[in-house]
Amino acid sequence: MNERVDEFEFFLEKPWSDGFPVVTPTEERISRMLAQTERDYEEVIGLIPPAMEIATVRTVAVHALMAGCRPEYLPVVLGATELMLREEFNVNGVQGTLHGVAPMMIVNGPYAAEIGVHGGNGCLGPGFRANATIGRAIRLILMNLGAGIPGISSMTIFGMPSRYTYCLTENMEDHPWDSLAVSKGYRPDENVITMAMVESPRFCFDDVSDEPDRLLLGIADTMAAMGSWNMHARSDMVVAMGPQHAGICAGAGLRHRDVHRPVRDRRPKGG
Amino acid sequence: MCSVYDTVAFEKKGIPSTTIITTAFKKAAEFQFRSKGMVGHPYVQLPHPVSNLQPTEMRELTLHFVDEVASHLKV
Repeated sequence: MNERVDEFEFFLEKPWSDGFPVVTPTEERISRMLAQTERDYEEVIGLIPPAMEIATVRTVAVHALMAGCRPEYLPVVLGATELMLREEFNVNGVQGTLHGVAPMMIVNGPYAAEIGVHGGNGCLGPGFRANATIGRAIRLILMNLGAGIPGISSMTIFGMPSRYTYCLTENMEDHPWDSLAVSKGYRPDENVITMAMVESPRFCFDDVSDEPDRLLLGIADTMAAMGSWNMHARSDMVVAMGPQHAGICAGAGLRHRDVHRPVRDRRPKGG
Repeated sequence: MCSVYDTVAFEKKGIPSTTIITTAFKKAAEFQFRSKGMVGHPYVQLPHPVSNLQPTEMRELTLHFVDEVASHLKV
């Protein structure tokens, strides 16, 4: 970069950012990022639709750096990139859709705590570097390698704030049950990323219920609200409970699956 | 959008193929054809949306476009 080029404007004008300034990917910074992986830097992670540009360990590291990730976040970004390319996620459709669906990542295991992924107050942001930058790295990969650019290859009508970043962990301090990963059969000491292509969060505000049945009815109703994609077609959904709501359920003797089943099975309005 | 890739795959095998989209996805389809080096490859645009159509309406719409589809598949 010479003195006449503003490094931040350079990347913003390309456009190689999500609208926010990116960390300039110098070779020195990239090397520090790559030092966090033992994988071959030229290893192919996959092709990012719809442009189908190649994501390698190195290019993923570059985008993690641009997003503002610390080097120790790189394993999570690599894992998330591999995960989102699974066929069942239909990333090509997610990239091109009129909708604003985005990849949501829930990171479980000791490594999440080690690198500071936040699951407590405000975990959906803003304010937490690991949450913000890991999710952002995925978005930059989708934009720069996948060319998921609104109005060009992405037909999203509004986009969505969750398309900037969508990464968190669970609040294990106040969690009355096992983590999501453990509930799926993983060991507590395993580091697991769960991903779902979902809409932006839709709050179920309930500061009144003190028993599960009414609370869960409200949550189920929120999930089946008119205008939600779930009313149009079956869709993946994530229900995230805060400590208060989880405590109401656990206090009534409900286990994780006792909450999951009734929420899943309740009929939407109109039968 | 996935159907563009199917079209590309068929064409690479020498099998004539076209893509059917709705008008809302015109730019996305053209981008994908361009990214695969198939600028100008013919495709069919149905009016958007189609997800609200009853089966009989969908059939009627399909019949309206069948000649266009067939014309794209001529070897």
